Amino acid sequence: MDIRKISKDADEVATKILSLTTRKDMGVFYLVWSVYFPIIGVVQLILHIFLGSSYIYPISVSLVELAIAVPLIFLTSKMFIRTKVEYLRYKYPGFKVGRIAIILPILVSTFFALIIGSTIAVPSKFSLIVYFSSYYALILVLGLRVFSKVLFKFKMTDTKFYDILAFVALLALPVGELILWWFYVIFLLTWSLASFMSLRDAGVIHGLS
Amino acid sequence: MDYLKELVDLLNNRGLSNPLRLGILISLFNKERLDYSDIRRALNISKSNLSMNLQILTEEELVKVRKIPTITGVKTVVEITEKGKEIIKQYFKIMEEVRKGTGSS
Repeated sequence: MDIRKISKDADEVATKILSLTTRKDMGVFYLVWSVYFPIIGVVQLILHIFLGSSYIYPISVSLVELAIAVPLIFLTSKMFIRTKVEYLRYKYPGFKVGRIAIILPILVSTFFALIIGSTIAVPSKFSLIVYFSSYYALILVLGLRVFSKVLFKFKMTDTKFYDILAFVALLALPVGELILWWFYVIFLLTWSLASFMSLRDAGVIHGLS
Repeated sequence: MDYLKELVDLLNNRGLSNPLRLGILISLFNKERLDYSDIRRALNISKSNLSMNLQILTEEELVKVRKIPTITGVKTVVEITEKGKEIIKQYFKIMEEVRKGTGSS
């Protein structure tokens, strides 16, 4: 029995399976966040109709955004956190990051981006710096962790052109929204495309290949 | 060397003596549960080949195969058992020792 060959071939088998399932997870990740903005838009419209002139309108919008965003953040981050640390240590000798180091930044970024950014900065309109810092805290820690770790560092699946498009759209979103109010449409289109292509590449959506 | 003997002993397990089965088990350790169709699609193998290998893993009590209802119909999922997790943890540990021993990464 050639144990080295068994081990090497088994690694290849595991890599193929994990690459496909990670691509599927990426498809769901893109899908969830591309529908977030239209949902928020509809919610804002409804709240504006019923509470538009009320002083509780801005706080209501923030609370609803929080109520929708927090579960989505935990749902999508959980998808990528479930990769076992033991596996990463095996696959990448020298890898020393523990579970807390992965989870903590997500909790911190959620706090900055949503509690401070949404509840305080937006209703009071007091500072663009707060808006940017809170927004980029979320993007850097959540978005970039997914992109940098899943795609670029650990290469759990191949990086495709639509990943790069989605990545650029994510980085440009805060600035873009200040310049063009409808910039989120570009974000929406790139992330919808990335979602469709990811799910197609993972074999979830058939045809058009 | 002791760890090499341990590795040989471990890979003598019917469930792990084949790279396909060992690879499936490693990926299951990572994800806990996988869709049968995803495994087949990723490896591009026939239903009978995959079913036969999963049968062996099931007999060794390393995985469980079950059907679950979904919106689009019933789907088959494969789950790793506690015994399967322990074996893979042991495998990773021995492989780490092998790498240290040979000085390779």
